[in-house]
Amino acid sequence: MKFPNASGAGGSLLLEASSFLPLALFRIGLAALLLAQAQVLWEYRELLLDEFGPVPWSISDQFLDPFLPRMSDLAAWVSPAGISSRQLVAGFLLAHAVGAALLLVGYCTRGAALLAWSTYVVLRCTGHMYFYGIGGLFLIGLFYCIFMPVARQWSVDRLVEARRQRPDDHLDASLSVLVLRIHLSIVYLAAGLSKATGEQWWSGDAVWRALSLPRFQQFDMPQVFAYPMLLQVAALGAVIVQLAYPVLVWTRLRALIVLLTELMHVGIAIFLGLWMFSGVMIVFNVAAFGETLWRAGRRWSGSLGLVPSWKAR
Amino acid sequence: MPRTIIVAAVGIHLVIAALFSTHVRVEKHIPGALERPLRIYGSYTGAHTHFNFFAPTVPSQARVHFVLADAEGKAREVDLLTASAEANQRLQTMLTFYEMPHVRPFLVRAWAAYVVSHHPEARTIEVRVEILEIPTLAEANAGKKASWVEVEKTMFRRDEVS
Repeated sequence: MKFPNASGAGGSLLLEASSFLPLALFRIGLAALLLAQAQVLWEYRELLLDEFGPVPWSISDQFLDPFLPRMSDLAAWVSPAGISSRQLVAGFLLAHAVGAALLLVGYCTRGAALLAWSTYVVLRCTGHMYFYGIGGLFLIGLFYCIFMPVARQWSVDRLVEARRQRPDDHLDASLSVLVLRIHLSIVYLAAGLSKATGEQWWSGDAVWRALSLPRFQQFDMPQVFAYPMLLQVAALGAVIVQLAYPVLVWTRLRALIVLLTELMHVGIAIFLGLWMFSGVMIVFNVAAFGETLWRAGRRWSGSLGLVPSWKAR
Repeated sequence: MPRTIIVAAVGIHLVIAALFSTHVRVEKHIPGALERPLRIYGSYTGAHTHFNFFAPTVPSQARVHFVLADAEGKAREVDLLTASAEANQRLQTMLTFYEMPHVRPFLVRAWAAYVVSHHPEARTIEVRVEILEIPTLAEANAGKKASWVEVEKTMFRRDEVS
């Protein structure tokens, strides 16, 4: 299987990545969000990760496969050395934050990704009852950061080592971006199909319910039910965008569908307050289709006369 | 490493991710000998993630609060909420486990133990769990309002949970 250089004739709709910049943005965006999450986990570690929190380890561990790492096993090993479970949690959080910070600046990037990923797996398994959908997305991103060339641009590694692009650099970028695109297509197809099977998404009740739940309420909208048509359009729009995404991203309409998807995530952040979740999804999309959006933006602004046509090409 | 091996590994990884992606619990239909290693692999890599956010239906929400009484019988009410919206999202995620009947009694007792440990003056604690009942759009337009329905009210003495 060959992955042609996008700048050549083979630069098809399937493979167009010609630089490592989208992957650098992936690394930076993911690491920044991981640090934001680490800050929350640190501040509320006694509530969300503690051995004797609202859900003690003795209960949460019951749901875990013995082959998955958890803090309780490690605590048993380190307690003879006088290290308490609280100190262990704090140590893991600090190590995770160090890994994320190094990933952010791109220093010892592969090792940093490995550190951030390995500590994250333990933290997530330990506090698995507190991790909503975002937990899986961070894990996917960190796992990919271990293997993908995410430090070839905008990184300390790049500055220090002044690496030259290897002949297969473009190929690496192309394969990595292709993996992200396929994974995102899987994510949106699954989300779209799951929604399409629910009656609430056809009637508009799903959006009404989401807006009614105190955990997501950002604005006081007591009369929003008076606009059922608007709610139905919003619900159907979300389903259509998610179902269309895995199809249209492989066509010339990819910039449009990615833009609509990004707008959907911005809407989720504003109206449901899920900033971190939306942020991760936007970062994934920028990594997978950042070049598409950039080129489309240049084309569109060129056609509007905002930039000289030779630059927009 | 030969590129074909890398591409094959990537392909297998993505197939596993696709397998677990929908709201359909495929785990129940795969032989255990295969399902367990796939699930473990997926738990380390993120490939075992169901992407059924708000689907197929948007679930309701539970809330829990605690009524503490001191030795003189003076009562006060507390909850688990924090000043952080993100931390509260995670606490709400934890509350969804209340829906599992076999976990419920252990959870309620654990919550009570946690709260009592932070309130040395408490002699008894009452755990109250409520579920938000949201009317349909049609019902809301007919005037029905969302309301909290109490589904649990359990009292513990301090010595029972500490």
